Amino acid sequence: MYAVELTNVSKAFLGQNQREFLAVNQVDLAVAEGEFFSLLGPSGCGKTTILRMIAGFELPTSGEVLIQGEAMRDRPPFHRPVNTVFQNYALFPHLTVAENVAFGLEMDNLPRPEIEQRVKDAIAQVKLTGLETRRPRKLSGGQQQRVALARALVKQPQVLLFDEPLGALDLKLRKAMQLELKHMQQQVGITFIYVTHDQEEALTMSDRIAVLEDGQVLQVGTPAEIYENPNCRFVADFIGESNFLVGRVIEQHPGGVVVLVDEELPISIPSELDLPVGKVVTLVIRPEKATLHPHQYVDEPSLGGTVSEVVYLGTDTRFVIRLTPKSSIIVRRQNLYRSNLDSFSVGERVQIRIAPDSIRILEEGELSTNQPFAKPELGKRQ
Amino acid sequence: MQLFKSKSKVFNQLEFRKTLNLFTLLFPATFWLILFLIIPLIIVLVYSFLERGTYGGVEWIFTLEHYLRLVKPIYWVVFFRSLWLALLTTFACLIVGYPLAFFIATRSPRWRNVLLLLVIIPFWTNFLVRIYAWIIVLRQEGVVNVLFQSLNIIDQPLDLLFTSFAVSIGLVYGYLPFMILPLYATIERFDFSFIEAAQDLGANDLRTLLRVVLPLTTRGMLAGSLLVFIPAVGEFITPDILGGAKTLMMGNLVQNQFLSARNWPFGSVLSMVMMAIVLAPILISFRLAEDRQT
Repeated sequence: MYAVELTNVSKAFLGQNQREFLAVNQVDLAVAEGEFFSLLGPSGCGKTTILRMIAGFELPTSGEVLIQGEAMRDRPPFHRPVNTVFQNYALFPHLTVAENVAFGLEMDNLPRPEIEQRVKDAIAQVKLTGLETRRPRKLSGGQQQRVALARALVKQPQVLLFDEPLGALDLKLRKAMQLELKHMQQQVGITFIYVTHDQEEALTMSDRIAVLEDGQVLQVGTPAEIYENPNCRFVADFIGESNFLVGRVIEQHPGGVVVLVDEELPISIPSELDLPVGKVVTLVIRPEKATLHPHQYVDEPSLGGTVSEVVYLGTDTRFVIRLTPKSSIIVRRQNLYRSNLDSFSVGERVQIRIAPDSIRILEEGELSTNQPFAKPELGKRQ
Repeated sequence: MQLFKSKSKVFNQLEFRKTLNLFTLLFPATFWLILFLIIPLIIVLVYSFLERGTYGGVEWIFTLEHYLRLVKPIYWVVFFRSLWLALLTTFACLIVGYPLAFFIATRSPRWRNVLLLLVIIPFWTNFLVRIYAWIIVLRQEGVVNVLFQSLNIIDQPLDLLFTSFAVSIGLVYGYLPFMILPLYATIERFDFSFIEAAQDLGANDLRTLLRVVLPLTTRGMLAGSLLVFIPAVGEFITPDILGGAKTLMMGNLVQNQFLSARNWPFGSVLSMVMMAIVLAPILISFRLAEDRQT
């Protein structure tokens, strides 16, 4: 039995000019007991709507939400075994920290001594002991976040829902909270469903991730599966950084194919897929999986190119290598030694070696989409 | 003064100009309040300790006799009736106004403006006319009685007019917008994610209302209640028209003393008592609002 299951769930909203649009489009998801499951996608992809349907704030237009195997259609939010940590925390401003945490237990009409004990434990668990009588407004953002967490945790729900709970915190605090949340989840063993648009956050914390776009689930898998074997261009692009080379299959032999990029650059790749000659495919290459070597180095299969840009980033250096007039790829190299700093310079001929099984083939793409990286997006967070 | 000593001359001039601007801007309000509120209040206070003149006005002889007259039960009946009617009006406005304000505040912005306009439209008609209209509704051969009789709900026409009931209806009708507008302003700013949070934590609709929505909109309820209670306590037109001679309120007493009885000092005494009665709830609600802020 799954902790939470969505079967063919869709949600239509009435948008501006009275036109319906599908915020969630025929989604199937199954979250296992005790799992840390993330819903990842850009804003407007429907991830929050899915969370709200699990919490009961929205009802699916079609399909069914099941919690612990039980259909939730007729259960209002206050009768569902889930609790939410809201994006803006939604702490009650007229109640103290302890009263906020006690609220949910009072709603369950538990005896006073038990409420007091559990509130005390929950506040200790999120390390806020001593702040019980403060009002939320007098707390820092991080502390408010902890109160919101304690308020949901204290009810010991079957499933805890998180709606981008760390979005308002600064980077350092966010990283610390990520690890703390992960540890807490392992301790209490509650199923966590976590909505975020931050791919790094999802990779750090999740057991499994569902990547969403336009109300649809594109891929579900462990962080490693999603990162190493993205099943489409969107996933490869959204999670981490990717080079895309679109080409045409020109040769198929048992266990592999040769793809011609831009009509001039043949790349040989092992593949179990049935890719007939002439088929257009997209090759996905992670920048850190390619290595640069001096031009003379030609022992093993490699691609030749010209360095067109070098960006020093501290921990690593980013090289933009022009392969053909139309295509470039980004190669990231860790700065293992200080002497590495200026080993390749702009204009230099280099060889790029990529382990053949590090190249992922996607059966999609259009030949015209290859474009040289005029300006690589440096702002994009890795 | 500390500032002026330590800072440079330029800053000094700046400070001076700021102060000057402040006084200039506050002058009209201050002037108005002193001339038409503070001075008349002092006059009323002084008059309440003087002998009455034969044809109105006062004799400049100190006396406490007008304050001693207050012990007569007849005045207490009127005071309590005023208080009771004003409290009843406030409460009724709250019960009627809150759901309405909530409804308006949760509509789409376009509908909100239309509905608010509908709340305010009655103000465009003269207050007296609106109160007189209630006579037509409430009198023996009025709208209510005719309707109920034709539906065979009652045999004999009800005595609705010239009762406390009629006065209450008139007061609620007259002051309801003063309750709705501040309530609307508060509820409109209310963050509805608090409702979701409460429901998420297991609160059903009623408990969400009692534990979250009402406590977080107390300010609006206080403001609205003050705006209704204060004028309602001192009302004299509505009880005069709808209450007849039987349902006097404090305002009617004051009016009578000044205009009919020509007893200005006693009218002043009654005014001072009325002010004291109005002041009490204001102070209490200010204290309540302060508590909320911490």
